[in-house]
Amino acid sequence: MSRDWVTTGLWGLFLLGLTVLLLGWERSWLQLLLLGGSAALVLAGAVILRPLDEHGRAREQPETSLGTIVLAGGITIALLGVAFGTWLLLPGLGLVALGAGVALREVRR
Amino acid sequence: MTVALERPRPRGLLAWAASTDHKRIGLVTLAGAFVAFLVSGVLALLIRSELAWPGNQLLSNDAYNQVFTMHGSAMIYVFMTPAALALGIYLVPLQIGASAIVGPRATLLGTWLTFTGAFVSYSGFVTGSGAARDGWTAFFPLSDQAFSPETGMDLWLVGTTLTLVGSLIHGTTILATVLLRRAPGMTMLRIPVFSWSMVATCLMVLPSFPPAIVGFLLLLADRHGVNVYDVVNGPLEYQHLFWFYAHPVVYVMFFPLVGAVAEVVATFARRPFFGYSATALSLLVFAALSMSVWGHHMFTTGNVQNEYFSLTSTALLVPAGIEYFGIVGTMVAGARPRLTTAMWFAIGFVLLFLLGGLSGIIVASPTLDYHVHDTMFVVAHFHYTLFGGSVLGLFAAVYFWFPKVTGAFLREGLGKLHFALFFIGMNLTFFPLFVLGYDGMRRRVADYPGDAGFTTLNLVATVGAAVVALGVVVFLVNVVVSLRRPVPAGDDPWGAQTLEWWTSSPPPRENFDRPLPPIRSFTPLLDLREEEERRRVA
Repeated sequence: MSRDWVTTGLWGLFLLGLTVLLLGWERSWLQLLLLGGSAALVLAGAVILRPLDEHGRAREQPETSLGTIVLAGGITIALLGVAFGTWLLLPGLGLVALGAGVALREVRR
Repeated sequence: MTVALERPRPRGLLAWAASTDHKRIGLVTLAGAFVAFLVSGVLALLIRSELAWPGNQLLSNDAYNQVFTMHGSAMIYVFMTPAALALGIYLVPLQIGASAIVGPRATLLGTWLTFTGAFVSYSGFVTGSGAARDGWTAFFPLSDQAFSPETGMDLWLVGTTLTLVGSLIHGTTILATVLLRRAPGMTMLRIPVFSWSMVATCLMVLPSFPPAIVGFLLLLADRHGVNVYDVVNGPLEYQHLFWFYAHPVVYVMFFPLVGAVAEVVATFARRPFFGYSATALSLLVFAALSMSVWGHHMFTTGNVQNEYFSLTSTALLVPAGIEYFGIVGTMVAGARPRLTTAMWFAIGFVLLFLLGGLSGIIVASPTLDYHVHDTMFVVAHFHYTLFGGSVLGLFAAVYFWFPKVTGAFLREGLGKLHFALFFIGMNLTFFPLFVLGYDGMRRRVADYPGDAGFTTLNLVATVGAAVVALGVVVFLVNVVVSLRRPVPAGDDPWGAQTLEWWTSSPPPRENFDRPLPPIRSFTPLLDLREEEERRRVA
């Protein structure tokens, strides 16, 4: 088992200490949520990381990935739909599906 | 051991744009970020021209608001953050002996979300009502539908959100690479200083970027009929979400360059980095503290705990001091440093960031901050940090690693001219702003009274901006000349210490075309040279 989680765990503990220090002052729930939530997120990351040990292993990748670019375009258009009309959501989500599909095919090939 | 058979590499624009090779993704991201730097630089020249003397109406007040908004936004969201992370995308796998980045296609997605986001943000300029005009902070209620009904504000929100998601993905894949793909023997306390700086950077990216993404999406919803911030304390809650991202991002834009400068200084001082372990720990402490200082941007709201945020902000001096001590210690404790262009930029970085850091103590103190808040003093402070610090550090990195990336040197003579113009121009532009701000000149104003005593220093600052622009031109000429008439550099032209210099220049697809040397410290190549020297003497 690797000890990579130690760095992340240590950093999470630093954040937790700063959150505890903040408790010494009158503060809003949002401040506590932001700092305490970050500490919790990082500590959870350390726990998830603990059993992993992938040193040196890299999966075979396609040389290029057009599907990824289509996916990025789809996400952009779909998000523009939130601001400029839901009619953009459909083509945006369509491109997301297309991009994700192409990307999956690239892995299988 | 990460040795693999070489495959023929596809050529052409699409092969670069859609490549899953971390080196190509890093370079494409860096090139895109540099385009944003050039565009935002032109906007900066417009700002300085407008302020050169009172009564100057080169831009209307409304156009001025758009220009400074897009200058700040693009410099932070599209140039400096992606550029700092792009260095990590390119260099981290090489430095830790990995053959690829974790999640290469996710990394590519991050790059393209950054690009499309930048395009969407800038496209506000071609809409009838113009680009966003609420500053890079987009404070509520200035940015709500009532005060900013223009389409450009919506485009800014969508575009900025996309760039943040892109950078968040980059931070995740870089951190995962360091944690999961290190070569055998490369323990955490043997990774190079630059890779440590990327670990600290990415640890900050992961928790600090999502609140801003949520904050901007909620603002978008608010502008389209969902009442989110128009409640008691709503504007303050927006500021908490924003500054929880926007303070750490300063270090996201800065830490990678501290790491780069550390590598440059250690290489040209010809010794291992001084105080390696203390510096690695100080980077982690610095990163954690920087997550807890966001409230110092809100002192004047009267609604944050000034003592807490002043305490944590001032405490940043301790880890910053350790890092300075490490860099300066390496410079003075090694052999007489080789004063290459990269080294000059590194020295400039150390000097100018010191001024940025020291002026930070003033704005970290509530009583002093009340005096200089929202003045040109703050503009000077963060430009000394981000331009004097990060941009000079970025150029140190570019001059240092250019031979590795291209196989050719940048011209040293043109490089030193570039440095001189940058150093002089930067100080001419931004030092006067300390005085102007202290004397009461507000920021984000398109004009000022002729009898306010601000004219001479503003003119000096404008001349300085032109000198910086000349420096950028010299750099571009240097790149073109060096690529068209290359001076071959070889695999390790500087006598460097870390693994990226073990491979060919430029590196092959799978990074290493021969077995890695034994890794017994954070300077494996220096160890190897010393071992060979001992063997030769024996």
